[in-house]
Amino acid sequence: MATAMRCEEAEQLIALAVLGALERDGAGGLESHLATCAGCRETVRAFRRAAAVLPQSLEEATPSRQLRRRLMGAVYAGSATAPARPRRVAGLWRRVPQARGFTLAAALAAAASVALAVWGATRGPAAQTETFAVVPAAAPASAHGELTYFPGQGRSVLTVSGLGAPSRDGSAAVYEVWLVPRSGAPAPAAFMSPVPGSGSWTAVVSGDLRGYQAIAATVEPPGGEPQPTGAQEFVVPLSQT
Amino acid sequence: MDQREAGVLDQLWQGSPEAIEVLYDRYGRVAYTVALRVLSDQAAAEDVVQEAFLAIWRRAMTYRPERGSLRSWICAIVRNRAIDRLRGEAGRGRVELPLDERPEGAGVSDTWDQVAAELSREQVRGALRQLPVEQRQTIELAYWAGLSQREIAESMDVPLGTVKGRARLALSKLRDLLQEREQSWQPQ
Repeated sequence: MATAMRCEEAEQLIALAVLGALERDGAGGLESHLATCAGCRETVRAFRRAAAVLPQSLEEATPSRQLRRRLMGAVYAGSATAPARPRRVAGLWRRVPQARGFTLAAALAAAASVALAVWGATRGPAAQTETFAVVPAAAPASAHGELTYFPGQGRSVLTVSGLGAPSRDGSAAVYEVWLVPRSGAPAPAAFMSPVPGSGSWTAVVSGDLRGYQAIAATVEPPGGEPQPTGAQEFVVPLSQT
Repeated sequence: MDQREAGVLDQLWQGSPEAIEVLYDRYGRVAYTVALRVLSDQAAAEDVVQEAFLAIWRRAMTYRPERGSLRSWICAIVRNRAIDRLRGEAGRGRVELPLDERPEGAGVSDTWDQVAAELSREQVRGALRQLPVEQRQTIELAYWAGLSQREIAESMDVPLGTVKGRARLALSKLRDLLQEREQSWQPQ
């Protein structure tokens, strides 16, 4: 059983560790003490909780709007390889609506969209989908692909092939996707991400497409822009919606 | 943990990008505040927040609700990354306490997260103001500047044992103040 003296010494080391100041060579014996002393393990918890409120003493600052857009661009760029539960993805593949002209491109898009896969596999009945063709806008007119819209889920998966790596004036850039309303300015909707090994690009667009006349993509600086500034790469007319 | 947070966590564990969007909208400001406090540089703070949220998304399965709130977990990740960026190699080589912290019977309260969440900035500042100045400085140098115990001793020109004692007293007093609040806490 640990003595009171040893516990006091341990508490000093615990406090330093919780504050991030305990050096490894100054921690002698703490780990073995914690293994045998429930009281000091409780001190670890209590000190951690005390330190956890320190950020609440700060005057809250506001990051730039660009940070959110940059973060989500990076998240969606990584979503094709995000750690998903294989069981659930397999569930989606079994649920693919075979009778509605489900194409390889749509299958690819579905596989690429982990978010949609999980959502679709866990929430709803078999989805009714609508598909729209990609129309290239930039020369050379090599972009081709389609948008698969899941109206019941308010999600669309855009898959496009024939796009090179985006660049502006020789610098790295991103493909930014826009929702184009029937009137008013386009709204930023997503960033295109490369699908590893396929040569295609994909994006998940959230929202009900009714009320929009098209989805379009432009080349924008890293992090994107609040309004389109670059050349339009392709457009997806939403004439049936 | 409220139901909304539990739902976000479930989505996060499933690898949903939308969950990070929700988390960022909820905790992005406090994360940025923590990073900015450590780094005093807006661009560097934003970089750290972005890296931290990407790490959170990829390491969501490592979060253990019994160890603390999502907010605390996110703040800890952001602070650690900010300190790493500020101190580089000098900030590494510190001891991390054992991660397995399952509650051990009585004395562990389920209400803590709610009590902590309801603390206002002024209440936390008030608790800190009750500490002697040298204890507050020890917290400042360790928690926000990322100094080690030896660096704090050199910086404050005191023996290492004094630094240890101040760190313990500071956190003990904060713990006691917060436990008082917890004991008198009533659900709103």
